[in-house]
Amino acid sequence: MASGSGAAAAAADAEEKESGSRMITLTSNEGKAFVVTEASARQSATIRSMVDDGGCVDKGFPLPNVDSKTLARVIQYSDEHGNKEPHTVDERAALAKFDRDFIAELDADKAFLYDVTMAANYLHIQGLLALTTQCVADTIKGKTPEEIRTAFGIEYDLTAQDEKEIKEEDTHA
Amino acid sequence: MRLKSYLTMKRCTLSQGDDNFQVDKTLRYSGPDLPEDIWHHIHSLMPLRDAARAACVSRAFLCNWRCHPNLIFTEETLSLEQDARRKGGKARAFASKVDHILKNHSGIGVKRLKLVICYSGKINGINTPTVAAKFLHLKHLDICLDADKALPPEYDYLSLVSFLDASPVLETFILCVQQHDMKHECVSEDASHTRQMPEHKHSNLKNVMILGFCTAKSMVELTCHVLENATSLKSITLDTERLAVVAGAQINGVDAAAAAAAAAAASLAPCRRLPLRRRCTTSGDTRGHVQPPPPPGGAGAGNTCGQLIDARLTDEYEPPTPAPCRGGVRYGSRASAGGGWFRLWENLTALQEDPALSPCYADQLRLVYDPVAGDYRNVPGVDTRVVSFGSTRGFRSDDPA
Repeated sequence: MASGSGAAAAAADAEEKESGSRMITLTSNEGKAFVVTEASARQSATIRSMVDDGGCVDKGFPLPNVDSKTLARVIQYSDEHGNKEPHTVDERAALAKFDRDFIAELDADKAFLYDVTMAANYLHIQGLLALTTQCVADTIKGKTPEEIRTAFGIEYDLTAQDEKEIKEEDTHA
Repeated sequence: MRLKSYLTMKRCTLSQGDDNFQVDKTLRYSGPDLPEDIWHHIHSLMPLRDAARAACVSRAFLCNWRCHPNLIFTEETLSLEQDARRKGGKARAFASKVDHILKNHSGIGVKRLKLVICYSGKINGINTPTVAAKFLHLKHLDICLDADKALPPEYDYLSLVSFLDASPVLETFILCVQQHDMKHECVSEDASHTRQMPEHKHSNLKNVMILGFCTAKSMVELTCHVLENATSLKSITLDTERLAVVAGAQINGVDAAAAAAAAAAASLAPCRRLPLRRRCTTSGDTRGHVQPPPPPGGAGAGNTCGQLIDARLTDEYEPPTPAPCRGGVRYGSRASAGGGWFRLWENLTALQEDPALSPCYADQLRLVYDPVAGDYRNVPGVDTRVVSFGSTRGFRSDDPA
């Protein structure tokens, strides 16, 4: 950037920042770039704080923990929630329906659900994390311990002392 | 980049008194690679029954169970429905299970604790389970005591103080007693016989509600204890509705409600912290049981514990004085920017502390006569609705928090 146009560029930058119309580039761990609106990116508390701290918006943000497939899905959620603020009852209902469909699709592919959960945790997207964790909790509800172990590949590692304590509580008669 | 963990709780001790064992951070699930704190969060989303069952899955799950934030104990969540082999068996099994769970619970992270205890038939000497753990984060405590006839006279309401002692940041305490008769010894006029618990300040306790307040000695002792030790108490509500029912049977036709309220106030005479009128909202209103709800706008006035009414202010509402009335006179600190429903609530303490609120309160309760319809309506801009219309649920609790 030429030094003479610095002030003008800064002013333009400030204006863009004001309107929230800046575009931000997110890069997956496979090197694929995704360009999203700032409003969409701000759904992530992690990115939000980096942007507000005057981070390298122009260079974009590499996300070494997120693959392209997962990132695309996360962006789908962030776009829906970030780009339009629901004002009317109908708009809110539409957003709720989007969430239901979104999670129903993920629910069918558990491994992918966990990837999205991890990404939501890593990027601090509260709404998405609440959605995915609730989905896992609903999966576990009503299952016996044996079924849960099988479903999640968990090893039985309780000690005799643990078992004794659990037996005292005996809430699962 | 460094991320703050979604949940601040990273580890918890497995049980009290077993200091040797602490779950370390390397404890990992072998299956899908979700980190421990996410699993912890997922576990906390499950209802008590499922969360308890899942405790048998593995040590990590057990550890999560020991930190479960919502402990809601009812016969249902503890699977006690079929456990009534002998009289009193259920209540005893309930007390024992809750006792064990509370004993083993780390106390970390409990945000809400609710006990619904049902007494049926003739039971002797069953008290609320005692608390061994400390609930360092517990803010909301609900205890419901349900008896099909009357609570056993040995039941000691004052024993509930152990819950208050165990919860240093407790803000809301709701005790709900349902009984058709009272077998307890009434409080005597001689104050020298009332017991005093050791001084222990409950400095965060702000709202206390006792539904089904009666003049049983230990109940009065409990109330006095709260009045004397809850140093930042904002509101205490003693609902004497059921007392009025009992009193009504005895004094036949005289204004039972007024008598009940008077009895409740008189019973608190031993309490050192006076004046009572400033501290207590007593209500002997029984209208909710026998009559349809009174006209909406007037509901708050003499009806602190009868039918519950929600209200909200719309843009049409023109306050008599500008600023303070905009949000309505609300219970506690649940104020939110216009448009939201709030409970109509006669918060005497707040009204006395801030006299500026009184005109607002009166204005919002005001009714306007519509000569065309020959009927009374709310002030323009005040909407009201009856809570749980068509059911009795609205009678049971007042604070939506």
